[in-house]
Formats: sequence, C-alpha cells, structure tokens
Amino acid sequence: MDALTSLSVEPPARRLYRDGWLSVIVRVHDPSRLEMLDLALFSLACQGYGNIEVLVCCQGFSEDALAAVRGLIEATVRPPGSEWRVLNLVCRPGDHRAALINLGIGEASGRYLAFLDFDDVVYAGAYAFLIDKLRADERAAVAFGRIHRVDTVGGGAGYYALSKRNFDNSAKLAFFAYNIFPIHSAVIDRSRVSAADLRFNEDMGRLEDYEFYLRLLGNAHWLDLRDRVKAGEYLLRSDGSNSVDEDRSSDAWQRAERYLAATKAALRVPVPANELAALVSRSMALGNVGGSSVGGREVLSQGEAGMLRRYRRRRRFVQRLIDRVRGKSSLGIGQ
Amino acid sequence: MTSAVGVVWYRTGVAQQKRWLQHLLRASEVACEEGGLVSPPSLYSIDNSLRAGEAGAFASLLPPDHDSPITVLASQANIGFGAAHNRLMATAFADGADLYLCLNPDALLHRRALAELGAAVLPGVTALYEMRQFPTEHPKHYAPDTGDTLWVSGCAVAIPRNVYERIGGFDEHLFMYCEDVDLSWRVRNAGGRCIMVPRALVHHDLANRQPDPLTEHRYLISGHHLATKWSLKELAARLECRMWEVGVPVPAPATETYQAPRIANDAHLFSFSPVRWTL
Repeated sequence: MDALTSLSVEPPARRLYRDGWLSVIVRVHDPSRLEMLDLALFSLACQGYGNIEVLVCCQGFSEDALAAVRGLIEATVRPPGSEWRVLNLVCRPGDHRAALINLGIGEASGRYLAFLDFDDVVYAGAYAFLIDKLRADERAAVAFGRIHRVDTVGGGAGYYALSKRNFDNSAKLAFFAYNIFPIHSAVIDRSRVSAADLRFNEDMGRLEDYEFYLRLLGNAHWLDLRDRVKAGEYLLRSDGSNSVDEDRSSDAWQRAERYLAATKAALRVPVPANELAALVSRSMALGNVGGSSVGGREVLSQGEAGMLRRYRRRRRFVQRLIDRVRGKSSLGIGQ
Repeated sequence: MTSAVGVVWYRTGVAQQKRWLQHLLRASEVACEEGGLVSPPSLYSIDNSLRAGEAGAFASLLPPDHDSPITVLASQANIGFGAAHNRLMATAFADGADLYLCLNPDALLHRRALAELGAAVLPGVTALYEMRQFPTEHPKHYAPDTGDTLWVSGCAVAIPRNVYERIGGFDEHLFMYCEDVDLSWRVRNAGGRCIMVPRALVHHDLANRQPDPLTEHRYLISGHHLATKWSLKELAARLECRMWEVGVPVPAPATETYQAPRIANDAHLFSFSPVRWTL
C-alpha cells in the first residue's frame, strides 16, 4: 500500500501566509468534553505569543454544541489582536481526527503552524521560543519542544495529576523508529514545507500525527529543542479511554500501522553521518531490544515493543498510585 | 462574603498589569453572576518598585464603569512581598473584607477561579485556601477529596478574616519566598488547615522561566530564616553549606522560634512536602 498517494482529498490551494502569525489548530470531537477544551483555550490565551490565530475544529457538532464552543471562546480573556474561529467538519459518525486537522490547515493563514488536541495544554513562552529558533535557522522547517506526560485521575478542570514526566528522552533520530513527538510538540514554518506534505492522511484513524511528522521530517531540516524549551503537557486519563490504551490488534490500529510501514519504506531520510553514528553507538551501548512475535511473525517493531513494555510498567505504576490515593482520605497531617 | 484582592507590583509593565486586571474583572463578573460573590472584590495594590510616597498609575487602568473600590497604597520603597501584602491586608480587613486574596502580579485568573474559590471557603473554619497553578502546578501532594495540603503557595492564596485576626499576616523577616510556608505552618500549628482548591485555576507558568541568581540568593536567605525559626537543623545546615558555596553571607538565626516537628519538618527539605513528581 502506498501511503503517500492514498490521501482522499485534493490539497488546498496555495495561499499567501501572514508572516509572523501562528495558526494553532485545536481539534475537538466530543461536545461532552468542553471543560477540557476550556483548559486548552485558557493555556493558549495565556501563552504569550500575541500574533496568534486559533482555529477550533469541531467534528460534526450540532448548532447548540457550536454555540457552546463559541461561548467558551467569548468568555476567555484573549490577547488583544488575536483571532479565534470555530470550524465544523460536516461528516458521518466515526473517527475523523485527520480530517479535522486538514480542515484547520486549509483555513489557517499564519506562516507558522501548530496543533493542539482539546485535552492537552501548552506552556507559556514555548511558541515564541520555537518561532524565534525557526527564524534564526535558515533551513529548519520544524522545531520541537519537550512535552510532559501527565497521568491524571478525574475529569474536567478539577483533575488530579498523579505524576508528571518527560514524554520521551530518546535521541532525536529514534523518532524514525517510534514516535517521540506528540502532536503539539512542534511549530512548523509553512513557507519551508510543500503544500503536499502539509496534509494528514485521512485514511488513518490512529498514528496520523506520527505519519504526518515522518513525511515532513523525511523531507525537511528540523530542530530538536527538547533540551531548551518545554512545549506543553500530554494529559492521560487513568480510566483507559485514551487512544493509546486501545487494543493494538484492532482494525484501526492495524490499518494505521500498515500505512506507517509503507510511509517508512518510501522515505529516504537525509541524516548527517555524525548523528547516525551517535545513534548507532547509543543503540549498541544499550544492547539489542527484542521485538515481540506471534507464531514467528513480528507484530511490533523493536522500538514499539520497548515502548509497549514501558507503557505497561507505567500503567501498573499509575494503578498502584490510584489505589493508594483511593485508600487514603487525608495526608495523615498530624497535630 | 465580601472579598478583597491584593497585588504587589514590582517593575511590572503596563501591558501585564492590564492583562492581570482583565482576567480579574472577568473572574469577578462570573463569580457575581453565579452568586459566589455578592459584589466584585475590592482591589488593593502597592508598587514596591516606586520611590517612597509614589502611588503609580495602576488605578487609571480600570475601566470607567468599574464600580468596586480600589485602593492604591503609596509605595514604601521595596519592603518585600510579605510586608507589602501585610499593609494591603490590614487595609482590606479594616475596610470590612471577609476574605483577602493575595495574588501574584504574574498570575492570571481563570474566569471561574473566584466562583470556585467562593464555593470552597468553609465558614468558621480556620483555613488558608490555595488556587491551583495552571498549567505547571506545584508538585506537592494534596488530598484529592478534601484538598488538604501541608502548605499553600502565596502565588494565589485566600486568607479569611478569622485567620488573619487569630494568626496575623506574613512574617516580615522573610523578604521574599518562604513567607507562605511560614504562614501555613503557623495556621496549622494553631489547629487550622491548608486547603488546595483544584478547580480554582490561576495561570502561573514557570515552565520556561530562566533561573536567576538573585532568586536563589533570596531563597537561601529566606529559607535559612524559616529553618532557624522552626528549628529545622538539617535544612539550616544544608542551606548554610550552599550559602558558603555561592558566597552568600549567612545571616543571624531567627530570634522568634517554634518547636512543632509534626507540622514543620525538613524531611522533604526545600519541598516542605512529599511531591508527586520531580522535573
């Protein structure tokens, strides 16, 4: 399967981008979770970069739900001069996460582009820093910051954060083995990327962001600035409702992984020899990480197997924390 | 319940003051609409960066139709965070406030913050109430069901009148930093509580703040006073070592001392609490 030609819509007409402006595409698919969207919008409103265009892309929302989203935006104290719009993808029921992003890309007017899921947040100063670095580099098209993974209990604005850690500490080139950059890690300079690359694959119901960044980074110079700036938080719920909690043998995951494999097979990635040598040396020092197999056929790649083992260990750790929190009603504060 | 909000400026630009004010006014509107507040909070401010006697132009930033009182105290030069808030608090409570919200100049209220805070205040209970910093919340533990925590951060903390009248304000020997921990311990030592209100959000994002040698200097001085005041020998010793390393003169120990090892202990050193993560 050739993932690069499987896009189901025509690329958007080329536009003139507004220099200095950042377009942030916020996607939301569930009108019952607007309390989390509110937090995402609050973080955007306070993050500090003023020339910002926020495009909230809703999936098949009713008029009432759209009115609620507009109400949230109206109620948020926004930076002067910033622009906020609500877009609605008219579609059949189902998972249209990639199409939501493409809707936003098609309407975005800024030179710089970023993405944010409705249940994640950004940190202050991150966009300004990443844009600054893109401007200072003559070639870089994408700049990544560090994301913190936060395991939470409870929903809405009152969620309890059980733990917070770096999303991934792997070396830069490990990205081509497994995804180390959540969707909201990056700012993209659209003037340095072809329009054809600036589209999400709408046939992918999972891993669509990884596949997008793979195509982008396979063709563009990029900056890994995780040691210099913290970009935001990836909030995971302990109720098992996150996408990453799903059974990887499901049709959606299997289809996505086939697209991913095809994309990786088609990519030719220009890598400086010194960076490749560093990665190989590091891998040799860490030793071989085996992949899992079923009936002699490898189901997961080596990096993905390792990620799955780490994920399972973290799940057990989080569950122990949850049990401990539920078992205690106070800190035992003494008097 | 009548409330007051106090802010201590220090070299805060007009743009930041405007943002701060916009967020506060929006939060006041929401709280009044929902019945959490009877009327918008009175505002109290002082600017520690001005010369003594100057008041600054903050009052002129308020919209013409703003109808709640604002009191701008004349600067007394840079008297420190705690001392400045004590002047504001004393004035606010003398004016009849039931609750004083100490709010940092770089803290932006979520529009629901005051409504949630108002709903969380327990009448007659001796307690300090902390708003949750967002998105980079403090890692210290708090009980998810009751909000009880070992100390509250002065970034956004509500002090009820009964606490102020019984316990007093901030220790003015602490120029900046640790005055919140000290106040928290005094409240708990008197049988009171420190309560986190997780739904009362305030944007205070330190994720990408650059480290500042002056900040460490102030932490060391204040931390040392706190440690000697509360008889925390291990913490005091470690801070003195660090002071020698960085060339900060070790000040004289606190003259007023407390012994309350179940309240104030240095088991967690400068976190003053178990933490949920270290990053």
